[in-house]
Amino acid sequence: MKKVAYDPNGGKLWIRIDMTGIYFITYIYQMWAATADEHPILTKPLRQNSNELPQPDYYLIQNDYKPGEPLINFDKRVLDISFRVRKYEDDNGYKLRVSVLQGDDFNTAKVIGSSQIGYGTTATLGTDVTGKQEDILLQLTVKQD
Amino acid sequence: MSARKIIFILLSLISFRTSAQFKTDSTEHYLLNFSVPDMPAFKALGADPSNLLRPSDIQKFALSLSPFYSNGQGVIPRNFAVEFSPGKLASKNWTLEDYGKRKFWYNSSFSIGAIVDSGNVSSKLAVGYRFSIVRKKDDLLLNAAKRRAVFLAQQQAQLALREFKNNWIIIVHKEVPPAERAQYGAEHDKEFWDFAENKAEEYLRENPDTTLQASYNAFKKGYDTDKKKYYAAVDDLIEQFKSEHWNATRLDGAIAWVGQSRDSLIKNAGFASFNTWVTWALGIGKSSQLLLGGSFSLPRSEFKDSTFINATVNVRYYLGTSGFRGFAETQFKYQNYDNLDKSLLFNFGTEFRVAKSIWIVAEAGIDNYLKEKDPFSAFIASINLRYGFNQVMK
Repeated sequence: MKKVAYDPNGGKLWIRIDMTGIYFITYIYQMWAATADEHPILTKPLRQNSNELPQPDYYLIQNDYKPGEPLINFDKRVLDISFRVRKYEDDNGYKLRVSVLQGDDFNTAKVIGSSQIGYGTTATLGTDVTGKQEDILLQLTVKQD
Repeated sequence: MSARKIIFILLSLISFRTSAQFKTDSTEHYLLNFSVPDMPAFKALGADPSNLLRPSDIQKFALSLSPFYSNGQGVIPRNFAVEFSPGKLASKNWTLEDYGKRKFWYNSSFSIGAIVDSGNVSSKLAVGYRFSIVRKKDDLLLNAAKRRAVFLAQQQAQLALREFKNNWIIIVHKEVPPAERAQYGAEHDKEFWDFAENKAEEYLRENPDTTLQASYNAFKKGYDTDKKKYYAAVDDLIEQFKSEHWNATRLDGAIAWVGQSRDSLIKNAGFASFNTWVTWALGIGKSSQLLLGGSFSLPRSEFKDSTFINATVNVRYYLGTSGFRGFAETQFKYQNYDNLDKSLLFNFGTEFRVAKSIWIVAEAGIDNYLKEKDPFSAFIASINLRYGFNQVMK
């Protein structure tokens, strides 16, 4: 699981999801709590979309039970994005990338971390034949000065 | 070497074809023709009694070759065939929106084929290009309503699966610390599926939990118990679409240049012929397809002193299903060389799938009907195995 260091005194946190490849790709994004005294999953409803429409997809990273809570509370929380990649006819390869950005406005926010599948080594379904699940996990951690 | 490659090579080795009429002792022709069906580069080399370019899906990449380099010189390989689609190779970087804009490139390919006859005929090298145009409504990725249905089915199933798995982590494995739950879920996917398929009901009997029970019930709706498969509804939608569109209306076209060399040196290869094909496949109802094809080629004479013409017109009618169909075909051919002015071919056959990507194509007919005193002496028959490299043959 990749860690993404963020500035607790900085701007808002965003997640961006990019998908390429001629497949039916759907995904679910959710954020796991880091402590037992809060809801286990802080995303409600779970964010869900696909590569059907023009991309990228992006969301404000927030605790839906406490919108606007201080960023310091996001320490150790895990962003969990599970993809379902289903082919139609061909298995020519696909790429999935999840990026975390920080900045008050998404359009000017800076990428502070990312994780990806299919960059470098081409991702294909291979022996999974028609469809496959792919998971990308990113853990938020407070940036240490 | 992957299993897919091994299967491809094995199938190449066991392909066979019989013919009562072909005079050339050239089994390599059949091997080439089989290996990658209906590449323009193969068609241009002329090993098939029917000159109809059969509509088929473009291959991302297919290859069959023997040495390209011999005795320190570049040579035309004895058996060589390659087809590649730059669009398909690049498509891993495309979005679905890009596919809509660049579909033509996705469905076009380049091919190269070569043969060296065992007789006194020289080596031939062919370079081809083909394209296929399919209507939007016959392409699941561009048919907005059908595509949307697949996406919705997949999203619904994925959401039910995600919620059930979340509850499995949170409720069944409550010992996992909160900050480690996501990692636990990713690392114990097999254990989750074992629980979902085999243990959930017993667990819920002994540990009733309304939240877990509700998510399990939702999961079960998307799980095909007989096939032991999730996402069955998505598979069904896609398979149904393919089944209903096997005879889609489409236009396929191809061109090929053929070079010939008296020896096997590439540097000595000269122009031998230029060939074009076009085939319009017309879907009729749910179970028929009519192919109207034409081809035209300009072969060069031995002494480069005249212009020869070779033209064919084909009509082929298919009747059947996505997995089994029969066909009848006739071909009229005109050429002004080799003592053959006009000929007529009558051909009947069948195509059927024996495995997901493997087809048997059997055909028999009478060639050169117009010229033979005893037409049945021109009987031809063939059986081919065909392997779709990266997709099920349409």
